[in-house]
Amino acid sequence: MSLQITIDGRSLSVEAGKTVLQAARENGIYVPTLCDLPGLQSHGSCRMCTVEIEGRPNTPTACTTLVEEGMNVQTDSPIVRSLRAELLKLLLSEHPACCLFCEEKSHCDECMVTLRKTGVTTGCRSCPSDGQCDLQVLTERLGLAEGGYPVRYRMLPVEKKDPFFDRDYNLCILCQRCVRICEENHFASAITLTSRGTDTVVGTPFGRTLVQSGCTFCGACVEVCPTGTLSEKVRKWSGVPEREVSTTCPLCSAGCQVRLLVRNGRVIGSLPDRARGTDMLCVKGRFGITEMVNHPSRLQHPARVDRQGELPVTWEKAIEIAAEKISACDPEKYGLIVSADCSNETLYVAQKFVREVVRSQSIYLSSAAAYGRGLSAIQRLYRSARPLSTLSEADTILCLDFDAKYAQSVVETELHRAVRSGAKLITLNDRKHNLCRFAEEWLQPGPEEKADLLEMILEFLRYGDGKPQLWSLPPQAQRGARLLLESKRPAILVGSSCLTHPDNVSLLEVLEQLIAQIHAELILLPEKANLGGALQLGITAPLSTANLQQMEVLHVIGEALPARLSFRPFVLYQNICPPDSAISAGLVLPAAAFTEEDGTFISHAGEMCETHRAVPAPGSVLPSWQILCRIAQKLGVPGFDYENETQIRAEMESTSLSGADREPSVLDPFEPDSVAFPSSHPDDHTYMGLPLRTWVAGFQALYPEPVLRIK
Amino acid sequence: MNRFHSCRQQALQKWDSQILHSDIPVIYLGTASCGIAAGALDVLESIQQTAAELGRTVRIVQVGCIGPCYLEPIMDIAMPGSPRVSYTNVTVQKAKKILKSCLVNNDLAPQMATGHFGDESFSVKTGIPRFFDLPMLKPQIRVILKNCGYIDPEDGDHYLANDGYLGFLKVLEEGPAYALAALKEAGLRGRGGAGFPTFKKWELCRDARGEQKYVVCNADEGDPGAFMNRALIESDPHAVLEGLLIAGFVVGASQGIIYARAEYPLAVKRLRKAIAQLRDYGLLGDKICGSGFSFDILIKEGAGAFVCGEETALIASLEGRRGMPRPRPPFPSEKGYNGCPTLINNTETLGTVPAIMRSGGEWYQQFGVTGNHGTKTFSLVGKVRNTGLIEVPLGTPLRQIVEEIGGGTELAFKAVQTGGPLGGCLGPSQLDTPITYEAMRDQGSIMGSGGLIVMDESTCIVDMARYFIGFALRESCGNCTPCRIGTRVLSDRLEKIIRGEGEPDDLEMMHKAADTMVKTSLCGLGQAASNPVTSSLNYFQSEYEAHIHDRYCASGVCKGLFQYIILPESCNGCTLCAKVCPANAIQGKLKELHTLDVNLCTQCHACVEVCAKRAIVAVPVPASQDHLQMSEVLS
Amino acid sequence: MAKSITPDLEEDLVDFTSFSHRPNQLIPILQHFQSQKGYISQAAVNQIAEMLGISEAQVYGVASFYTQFRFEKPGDHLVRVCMGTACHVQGGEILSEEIQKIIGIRPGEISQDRKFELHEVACLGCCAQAPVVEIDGKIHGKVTRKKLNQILEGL
Repeated sequence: MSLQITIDGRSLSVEAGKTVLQAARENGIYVPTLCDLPGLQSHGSCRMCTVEIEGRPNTPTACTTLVEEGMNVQTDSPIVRSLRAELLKLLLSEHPACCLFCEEKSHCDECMVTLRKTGVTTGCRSCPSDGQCDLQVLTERLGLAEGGYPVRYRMLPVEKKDPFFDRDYNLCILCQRCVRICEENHFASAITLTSRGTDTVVGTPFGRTLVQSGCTFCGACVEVCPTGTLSEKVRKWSGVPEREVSTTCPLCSAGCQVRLLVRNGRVIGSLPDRARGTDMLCVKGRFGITEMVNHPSRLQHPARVDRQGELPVTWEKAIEIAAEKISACDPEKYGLIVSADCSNETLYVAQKFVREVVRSQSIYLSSAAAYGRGLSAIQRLYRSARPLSTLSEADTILCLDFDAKYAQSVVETELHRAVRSGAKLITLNDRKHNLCRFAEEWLQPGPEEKADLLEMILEFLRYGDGKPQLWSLPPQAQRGARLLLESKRPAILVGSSCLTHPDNVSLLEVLEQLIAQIHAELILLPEKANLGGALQLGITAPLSTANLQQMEVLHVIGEALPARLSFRPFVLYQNICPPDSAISAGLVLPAAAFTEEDGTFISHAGEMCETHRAVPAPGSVLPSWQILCRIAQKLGVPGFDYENETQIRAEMESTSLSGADREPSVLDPFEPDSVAFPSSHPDDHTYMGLPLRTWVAGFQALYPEPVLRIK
Repeated sequence: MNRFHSCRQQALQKWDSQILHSDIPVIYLGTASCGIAAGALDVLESIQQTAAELGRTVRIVQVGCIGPCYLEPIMDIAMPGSPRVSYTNVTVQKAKKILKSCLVNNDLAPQMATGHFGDESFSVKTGIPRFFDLPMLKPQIRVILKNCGYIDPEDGDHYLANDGYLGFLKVLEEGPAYALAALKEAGLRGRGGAGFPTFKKWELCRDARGEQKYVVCNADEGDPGAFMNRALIESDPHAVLEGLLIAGFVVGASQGIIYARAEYPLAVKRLRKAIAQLRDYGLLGDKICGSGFSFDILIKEGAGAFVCGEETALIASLEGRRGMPRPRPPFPSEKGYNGCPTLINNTETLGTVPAIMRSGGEWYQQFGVTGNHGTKTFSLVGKVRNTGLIEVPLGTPLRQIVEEIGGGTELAFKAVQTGGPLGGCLGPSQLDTPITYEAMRDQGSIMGSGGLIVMDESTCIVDMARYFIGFALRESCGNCTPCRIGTRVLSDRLEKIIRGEGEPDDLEMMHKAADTMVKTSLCGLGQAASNPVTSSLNYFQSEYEAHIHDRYCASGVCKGLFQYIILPESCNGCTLCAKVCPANAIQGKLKELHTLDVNLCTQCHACVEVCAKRAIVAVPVPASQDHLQMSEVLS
Repeated sequence: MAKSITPDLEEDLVDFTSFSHRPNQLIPILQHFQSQKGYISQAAVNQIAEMLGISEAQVYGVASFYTQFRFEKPGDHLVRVCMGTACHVQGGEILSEEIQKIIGIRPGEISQDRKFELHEVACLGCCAQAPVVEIDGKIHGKVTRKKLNQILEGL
């Protein structure tokens, strides 16, 4: 239903149920706000959007007033302007604002005085949000020339103990966007308002750290903070971004869409890309990318390693050496190890390289050992895997071995939303985890008993209570099973710990039957971004110790060196960062990070996701596939003349990546003989072989110790 | 229905045999919080002991507050065949003496009595005036307080015997339309302060859509200086419960909630007891009295937030959240507790309803004035001689309340603060204002919940303004900008002025901040918090200016802005001041003029309190005096 | 995730079985806990959050809003001075200052020996008996300097 109202003399037609603020915005009328945030319920605490409405006493706020037929609104009358100025003055009396009214303002920009040496914000120029602050904008817009009220500095200590971002509540204007977004959109409520009145401060219980308070570091609060109160540690002095580049986060298979913030040829931050369907990132994509791609230890130039040490060489020389070593090597004694972090382009070219340049089959997937014999089941399951958004349609969700506290915390938010819309959550996990707080049932089998429990549930689903000989299920499992039985739209979410479980063969077998029995939607969430791509290309072979012992040339792309290198092959190490263990002889070949090249990978739902080049590569870094191509070209092998990723993709599409999966090759017997890569355990959160902890300081607070090291 | 009727019959019999025609002496003792604060529990012990010693059987009835709290502890004795006689300011010894006199000698000790509850002939016989002819009580009309001081609030039978729940039964019989019509005719307006027509509020809630509805009694009387609701609940809890029942029935609610302050433990205790008694009478639970009406009452205690007296903040508190008011609309009657239609009424409003239901709207109309019908309770406190709980018809002039009922002030009257901390201070020129919702508002104040705090010339208005804004500052929820920061700005300014550091543009700054608060605050607290400041600025500007320009506090309150001198013409040399002075600043011999050394004086006020001759006065600090030295002495 | 364990996190838990575990019971539950232990400890916040299925921050945010709740163990004797309007007019502030001098602490503080705890409260509702002081739950009205000294010495 449409209503007629007047705003500032303009006659407008507005849909009933909208607020005056929405009506104004839709029609291009500016009304200042601070606490308002599209996507959050209107709050009405800052009072900035105060307007005059005929027939109403005082000046109501536009954000909380619903439109009514015949309403007559003034958004810019002298009274309104004066009240807004007063409100802003009141706010500025409690917010360091000396720069706003300083006579030297225009000079200051030019001379860039060393005010930033102060650890504490005393004015805009020493504030990390200088140029990105709503108060600054508002002051200018309202033409405020002076403060007017005596200053009150609250003398609160700056909260720096948590990773990733600092909190300086001396700058806080209590718009409460942070508290609201944490509560309404992400359901974590890690922060709250404490005390009341003039002593109100946003904080944690008893001043605990955010880590202790249950924050998952999704960074949503930092993004929506209108002032410099919440500021990313790494981004503090980076300045205002010049442009944004859309890409996909490569740190797991969820495929979240990311906006990279770029300034001066560097990535300075990453934010969720709402325009492309992602409204939240987990801590990895939100805070892991910038530090990682800008890390000082990034490899920048090729180097040769021998007994004398490491010597920088030119690319020409490096390629020459590599080509020499490979051609001199027996094809059976060359091994190429790729990881599931590599892009499709890298994987495709690598596979082609082994096939046509080395003329062997020795391409190995580093994480294959972790998946073991379950890899073929996983490959099958991938075919029917659905995207995360499927959760919103489910009425019952079974989560297997999923702990989405930090990594993949977007999933927990999706689960919360589903539960609030009425879905029932059943979680199966032997340890206490975040989901058990709001799950309907928490099934807690021992680590060895998961498959058995699922088996029992399957039996129940098949036969109901009708068979008294069935092993009796524990009560929660009975209730959970009943929920699944009655469900009309069940979904099953499988976490990465489940996929790499030592007993994953039986687990996955039961899982497949379970899915078929209740016609459930399956959502797989492997930890590595491009497991899907590797599976589709058929790169699934684990490296066996036997093979490893024989090797003369060991080529490693996007992975750490294997744990036991007691002998000495010639190592071709291709990565973005140096290896964690020493190379006695070989070449270090610097590869481009995903921010420096275009690429694709296959997400958890089997969909193609793109990464886009945002910044120039540092030093003389080259994309991984290009390094392989140069070696191939040096050896005179045709078919490696790709100029860009698009050409590779075109070739991929016409050959292998169009649905034909190869049967994964599996070693038999498996366990004792496969080489474990230190990075393969999902709880270690590695990228390109190194734990994120190594690159991103904040991760040490979240994951202080490596969970498991496979020997 | 039968159960209730049989309970009522029993109660009537009990009342008759135990109270009206008791064959043993009945001793009444006021044990509401005011009485207890005055020492009534010690008196109670004394009565019990004395009666035991004398070997006499007596019936002790603990009653609530009868009104003149300044006379507590109040002990009344009704000897068989005689009317009840009231003795006031009763100490343990006095109680013993009176009891002995009555019980042993059958002597009512008229010289110690203050009043009686009989008729004129008894006054002639004994020389004791009628209690309700006392100057404080004579102009009062006790509708709401009808039972207070008469019945034992912990004995439901007393309530039953005094027309208890007849109002509810009538409404049950006649239907909600009858109740609404009666309320409309009565013209009852919200007694919590807003003055919204009660019938309209009930109607809105009744018409609102929703299967589950709630009625809430707002007993979160947070106004400092107001204790009407507390007194009512402690003295006659069933009146409130009956009102709640009626409200529930009319709007179609099945659950009543009483939101009571945690600072009122005795009130809460008595409510719980009364609710249990209601269950015994069959007036709570499923299908009450055979009707289709099912209702239950639970008590939720507040947790120390004045702002939770505001309706939406109250609801937030009930829902287990921070008590931060929400923007309205939607109004609680449409969407309140748990998103359901919720009727919220003040304790006194609900307490008035039974009488209106019993006696009709037209009967209630006879009290008060047009547009402001009925009576209201007020707490008359401060510097008046007669402090306590009073009930007067609306429209009564302030002057009558202060001078006649209150007995006036010892020192010159200065101002009366009406409506609680969000009200305004009215000066001598406004004393003729009648107490109505509109008149109060027109004078820059509010009726509020009924606090009337009288101040005399020894009260500094600037200090009072600072006190009130300090209260608002502490109680502000902190959600919206103008109130959170505005109260702090006003408070800072006033503290500065009181320290003697006031500047000329402080007044303008305060006006501006106050204006912003009034116009843009989210809730009533913010909108009204500046009232004490602006009203005092308007009516007592000269006092502010004296503080700012002359650094002088004529009332002798703001330390450093005056110094004491002893007036030679008044001092009689009694040396009391020298004895109490903790700083040994006063010297003098007996019967001779005393002198005060301002350099030693810490301005603690002790001497002023004891001087019967009012010889110690506050004068401005001479300009030549070193101001810094003075403040060093005082810190 | 690491949770720093402070001493009172290992306290005995309080029995809440008589309450329904819904978020709207938060305030009565906090009141119950405080009546049992005298204050709201870190362990209490954790336990309540777990029970109601809300975060610790939500529990603490509500508890810290209301002046009834305290987060520190109380002193042996609780002295509350009424700062209501009537009491103020009758010298409530001066009385408070006297008490502060005698006990040697400021409002909101606990004495070194944990014997006394002093608070200024908004209004105790006995305005006609102003100035009022409440000590260990007992209300004393019309408190003069002399009376005050008598009462405090008795403790």
